[in-house]
Amino acid sequence: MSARALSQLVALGFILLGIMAFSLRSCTRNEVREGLQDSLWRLTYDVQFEAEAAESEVKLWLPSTSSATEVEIQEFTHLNLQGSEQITPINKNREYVFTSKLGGKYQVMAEFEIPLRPRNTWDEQSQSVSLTSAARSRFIKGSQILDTASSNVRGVLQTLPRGELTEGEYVQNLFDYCSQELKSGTAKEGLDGVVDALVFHRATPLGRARTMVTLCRAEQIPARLVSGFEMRQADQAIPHVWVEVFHGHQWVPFDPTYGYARHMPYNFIPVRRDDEKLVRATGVKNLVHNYTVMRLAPPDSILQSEVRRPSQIFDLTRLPVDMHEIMSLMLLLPLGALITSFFRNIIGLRTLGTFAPALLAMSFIYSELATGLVILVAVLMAGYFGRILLDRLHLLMVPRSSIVLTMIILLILFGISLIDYAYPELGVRAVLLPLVILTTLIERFFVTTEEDGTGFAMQLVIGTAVVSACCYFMLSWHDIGEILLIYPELHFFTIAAFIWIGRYSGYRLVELWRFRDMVK
Amino acid sequence: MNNSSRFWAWPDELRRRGILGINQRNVDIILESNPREFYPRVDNKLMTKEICQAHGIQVPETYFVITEHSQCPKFLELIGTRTEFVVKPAGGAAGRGIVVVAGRLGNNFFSTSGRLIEWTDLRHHLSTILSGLYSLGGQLDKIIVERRIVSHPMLKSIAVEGTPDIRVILYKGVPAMAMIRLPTRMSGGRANLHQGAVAAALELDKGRTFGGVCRDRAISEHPDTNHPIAGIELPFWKELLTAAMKLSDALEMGYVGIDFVIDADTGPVVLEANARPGLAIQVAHGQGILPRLKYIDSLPEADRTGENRWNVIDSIATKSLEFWRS
Repeated sequence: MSARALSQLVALGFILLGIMAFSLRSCTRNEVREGLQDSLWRLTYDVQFEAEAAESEVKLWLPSTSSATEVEIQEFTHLNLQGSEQITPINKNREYVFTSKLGGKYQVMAEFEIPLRPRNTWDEQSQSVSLTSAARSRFIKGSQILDTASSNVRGVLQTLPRGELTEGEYVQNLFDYCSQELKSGTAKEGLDGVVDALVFHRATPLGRARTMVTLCRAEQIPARLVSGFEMRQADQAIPHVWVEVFHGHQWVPFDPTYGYARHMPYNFIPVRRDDEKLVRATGVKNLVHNYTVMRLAPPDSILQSEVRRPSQIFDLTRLPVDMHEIMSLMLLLPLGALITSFFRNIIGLRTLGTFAPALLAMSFIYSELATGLVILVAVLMAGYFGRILLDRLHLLMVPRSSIVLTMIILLILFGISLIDYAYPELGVRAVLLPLVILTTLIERFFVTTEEDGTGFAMQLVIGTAVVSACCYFMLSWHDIGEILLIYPELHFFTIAAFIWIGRYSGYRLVELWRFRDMVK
Repeated sequence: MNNSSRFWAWPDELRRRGILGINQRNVDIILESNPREFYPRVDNKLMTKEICQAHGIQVPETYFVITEHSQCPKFLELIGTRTEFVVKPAGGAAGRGIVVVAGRLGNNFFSTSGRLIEWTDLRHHLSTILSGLYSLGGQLDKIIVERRIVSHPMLKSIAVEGTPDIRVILYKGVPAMAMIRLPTRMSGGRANLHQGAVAAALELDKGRTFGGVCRDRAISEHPDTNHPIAGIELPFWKELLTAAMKLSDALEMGYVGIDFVIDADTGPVVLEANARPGLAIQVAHGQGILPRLKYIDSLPEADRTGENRWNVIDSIATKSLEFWRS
């Protein structure tokens, strides 16, 4: 196989490897993050009753499954009962009906395990539904409880004139009225009812919800009650009631008790729509029902996350935080090299030394701009004057360079001290830098000046400055450094890019200029 | 289009003219043709010299070699009464670190351009070379002190303050292109194109100059003497090409540039060989080198080895511009 084909293959291999490693890691990271956000809850219904005769019936409404909330495990414990599940056509309620063959005492335990995933919140809004005219008339119809025709309702509506308001604005007004104008009250005072709530300006949660539904229906806006549970630990959980208003093509939730509007928190699980009762019995006496909500333990993978595993070697973020900055700088360095090789091989800009510009840029990052400039001035001054003075002494190369190095160090330290004295607020700090590289740079510059002329040497200096500046911007890009720290496998793509540049045999940009006289 | 109005050429235009770029030279030609293990043969001038001598190719006579700092003080003793000599680093590239001494007054030396070099300066330069300042990798180096070649008088009119050198590029042992580099005042008497030396193309069969380039721009007269650059036929051309082919065979490098100086008495003398010859030779020719390389590639091996190469040289030289462009 030719080197060209092999290079393409290897580069593609690295790309594939990069994609694989990246997706593997991002999947794992997602799993871990979701695992931390998720919680698992157990909702239990405990229903006891005494059947007066055979064929008596108890109906339970079960937590509804949707794309957002999913009931993972559902279990019924009972004796001598027959049960069947059905889903109502309009409200999509899940009903479970138990029938007894004989009279006597019965107990039904229903257990549901419900995982909560905050990211796909309880989001019924995205589900568009069409409401048939029959269904529509059902949701604007009054009833004995939701008495749309009562004079109190009419009276309230007169104080809330519809005027030019859109339906959305008007529903908001009704919602504000029910959630803010009505003070709280108890069921014993009869404040579950709409009329009493409107008369006394006080209501229970159920009273508020009923009032809002009634007001909406009286204004011909389809609305219904929703009864469900808030997932929080409770021995005797009380079902919570809120409202859904049909608006546009969706049922939009409003909770006049807690004030949630248009979007319910993810931990509210709807159970029954269009009514508040979750248990209904016929031919039964002594009906007792109790609901409990309990938080379950997370999976082992979360509880044992600190257990040592060899796969942790690939996770650099696990290392001490104070190492992160240096590690991300190290991970950025290949990108600096990428810039350098792009400038050299594609553009054709020449620099003093191959990786000197990238290292120079890194020293600027390390030391922040103020210190960096001090260093640059110090290096240039010590280099220039040192060279001129030392040239007359005819010293050997290594000792001469070492003197320049020593002078640079002294100049840097006193320069920093000077800046700190003059502007203490700048907070310059001395850092260890690749000073030897800078010293070599000076030496190279002088050799080039002597051998190839000042013009050519200046070209190299400008090239070095341009590449260093580009590297500086790349290396100072913190976000990229952090991403690389999390996903170091992205450098497989960098390697592929290096291979491609390494096999690039086209013209360099400067050659288009250099050979311009050849096309005539 | 008028060349003064152009600031760049499109890649496609360059490709059609067969111009070799640096990337292609490195990736497609040098990496393919020049085995890594033979690089020392060209990078180390002492080794190049040995190879030349073993094959009967003329090189400047070596007076002595300095390998250690302790030998530097003995330089004056070793150089004796010689007034002309060349000091060069064994591992230098592109003429770096070479000092040509053309005159001497006691312990004061003078360069070809008449610049004074005091003994202390020279001794410092020697130690700098030994430290590796001019060597390719920066490692410790050796110093060659050798005879200064006095250029053939024919070239006086187009060489100012220095010695012109001739570069022949050979591909698979066949001379593909040749040029002569002429020092100018701007280049300080050195045949260094970066510093403003002039390059003129050479007709491969006759060794006659044509074209001309200075700092990558086409010129037709020497900038210092205003003497026309074209039309000068070099002496000893056949001998020079013979030596180039012999050395290229001995070096076993597929793509190599060999630098010569033509001595007034003895003819072509090899100065050095280069495994990464530059691309300015194309500008001097006003022509790309790629079609010539492809032509050499297209020949059966028997036709481009041994004495048959002379036919190839003739046919390369006599092919028309249209042939190369097609």
